[in-house]
Amino acid sequence: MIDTQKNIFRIMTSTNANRFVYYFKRIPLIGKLLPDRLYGDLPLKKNLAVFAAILIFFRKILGKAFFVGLFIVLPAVLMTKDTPQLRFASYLHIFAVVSLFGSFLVSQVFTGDRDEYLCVRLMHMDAKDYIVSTTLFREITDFIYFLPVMLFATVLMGGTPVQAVLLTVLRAGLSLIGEALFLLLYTRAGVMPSGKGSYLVATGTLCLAAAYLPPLLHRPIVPCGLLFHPAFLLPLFALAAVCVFFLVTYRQYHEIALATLKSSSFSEDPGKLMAEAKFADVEVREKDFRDAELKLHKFDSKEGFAYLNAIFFDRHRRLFVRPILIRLAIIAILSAGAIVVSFFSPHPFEPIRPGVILPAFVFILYLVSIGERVCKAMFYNCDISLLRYSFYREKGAVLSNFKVRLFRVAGLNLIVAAAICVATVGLASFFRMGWPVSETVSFVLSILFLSLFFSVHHLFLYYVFQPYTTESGVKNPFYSIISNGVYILCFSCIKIKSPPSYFALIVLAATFLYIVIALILVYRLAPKTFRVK
Amino acid sequence: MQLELTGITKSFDSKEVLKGVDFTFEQGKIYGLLGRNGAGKTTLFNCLSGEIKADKGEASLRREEQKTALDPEKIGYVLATPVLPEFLTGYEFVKFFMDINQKKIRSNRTIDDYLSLIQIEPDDRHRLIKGYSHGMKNKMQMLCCIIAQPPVILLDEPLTSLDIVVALEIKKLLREMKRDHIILFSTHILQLATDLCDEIVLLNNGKLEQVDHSILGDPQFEDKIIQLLKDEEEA
Repeated sequence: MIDTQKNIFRIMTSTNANRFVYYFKRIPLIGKLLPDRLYGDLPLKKNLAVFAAILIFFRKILGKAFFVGLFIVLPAVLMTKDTPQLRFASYLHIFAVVSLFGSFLVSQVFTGDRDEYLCVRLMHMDAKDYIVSTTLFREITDFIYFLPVMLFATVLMGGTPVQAVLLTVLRAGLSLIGEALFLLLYTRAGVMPSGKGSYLVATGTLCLAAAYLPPLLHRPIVPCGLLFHPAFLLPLFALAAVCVFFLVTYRQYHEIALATLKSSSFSEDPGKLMAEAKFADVEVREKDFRDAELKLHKFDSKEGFAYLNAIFFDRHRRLFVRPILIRLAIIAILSAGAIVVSFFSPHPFEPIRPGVILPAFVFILYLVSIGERVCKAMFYNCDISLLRYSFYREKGAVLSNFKVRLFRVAGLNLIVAAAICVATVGLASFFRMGWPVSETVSFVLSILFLSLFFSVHHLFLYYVFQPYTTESGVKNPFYSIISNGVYILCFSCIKIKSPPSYFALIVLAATFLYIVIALILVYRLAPKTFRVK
Repeated sequence: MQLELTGITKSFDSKEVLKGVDFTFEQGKIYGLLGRNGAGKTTLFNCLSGEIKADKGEASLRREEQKTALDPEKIGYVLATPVLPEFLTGYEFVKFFMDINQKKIRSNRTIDDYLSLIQIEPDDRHRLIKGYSHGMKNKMQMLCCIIAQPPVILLDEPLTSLDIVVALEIKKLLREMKRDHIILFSTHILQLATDLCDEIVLLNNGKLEQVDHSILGDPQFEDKIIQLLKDEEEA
């Protein structure tokens, strides 16, 4: 078994070093420094592999720290203020419950990953040797990664270092027992629940409820005294030892490997799989369309890009029309809610001027505007293939297509914007807030311009920076900068408590200017930048 | 009409794939571009079609004495793995393609005529392209060339993964079309090349070289081609 682990190490070392070189080469500017022949430079790669292993070591510890911090320490602290004893009890409760359920959530033995496929299927390593040695190796390394994190966290929460070590051993023991139970389940009932969606959801929900509800109610139920009592720990460790024996002597690993390592799921290149997963949410579904509907020639009167886009928006209405309807419904429900509230309390709202709420609406419009998902759908369902045709890349074609799409997206967004205007102005007059006409007009105009602004914004980014790739999406850095910049700007508008009277003017001028500049840039650059990368 | 390539070079990182491609292709002939895996067939096609930019060199079309640059719209490119907008039906795609290329279309065939020509059955015409088989998608791509009639047609291993019936249909289509076009057909299947093509061109060591006509009818053709490919590798 030691030999197997050594062999696995050798393969992984090579893969890790290659991966390191590969990703390093993709870093802009400095990536070019590494020549291709590095893949063949074995001594250098050995050093790189050591370096990569150190990186992985720290990354794993960081990962565990993140997990313990975010899911165990933070909730315990947040749910129990000022009572150290209760806080420590909650911490123990959450850790114990999460460890318990965690060990029944996923099984290392039944997780056939790419490495296992490589070693067992392609290189014909013995399945039993492989699975047993990787599982045990995983348990040991997890223990090592968890130990410093748990020492720190437990002492921080008011425990002793010995308790921290015991907790870490407890986690490892539970995890081993979990693996053994998965094996038993497979042998007796022939089922492999590990990693199955419905099983994960069910166990996950139970885990969340059991871990967080009791501390939330200030009644952690894992008894602190019992958890560290030898009468509890010793039998548990004995059971874990029996489980290890069971794992090592178990015979049916070959069957398990056959069942978990299906060629079909590994032969595809991972980049492609990732891309497919990425655009799954914008994919057109064949079963959504009945034959009769496809035979209707309802768009035959249109021509060229108008025809293409008419069909595109029609076939993807799930992506475009439904979100709009949901937004309209939310606006209607909120408005109706406000009116209902007024029946019970005569003056529920302080009178406010339209200028004061406008900053908040900048962010609201950012949230309600559709655009990013539309562009993604355009790319993966339409442009990715049509951009391979030269006629589609011609300047005239790119621009006329852009125009048709802009009108469509802006039209959809304006419906929502108009509804927002009607709702706010309507409510203001219902509650007799006495908005002056001039301020109301500039408020409405600002909302409509903002809506137009976001429509242009997304399409502009898409056409000029084309952030999507055919494989795992390496986004254009400029795309991220501008996109995040606009987000931060819109978000920070909420923080403006008393906006100046000319805020509406600023919004109008800024959005107008951005729209004009964006359109000019699209006109100038898009014919060159709008490509599949 | 002639397609002239002069000094086309292309490198990826430090690997020089095309090392100065010089060649003249004639109208009315199907050229079989033979090369081993990784010889640069697809790279050459991508350079010609404008998908990637060549480092050096130029491609131009010569009609009588007039020479014009080969811009992408003069090229029909049929890719090994067909890419088509999957949310359209076959019928809708043809309509869209015809709308866009209106100016280039000289025939007065209807959409259904075209689809009959490549033997897409009436039942399939109004199905989403997403559900089409590989062969059907390939025929749709060929149809683009038939409709727009670009002077140069590039076919990147188009028959390799098709069943024999579809392959035969496409071969017939190509033979019918070749009179007005320059057709370049890349493959690494020797038999396909001898069967369909009028000329065989080898892409080896980053350069193009025409195979002598006398070899084509030779019973030992296969051995000789392999000898040529090997010799150049060693040279």
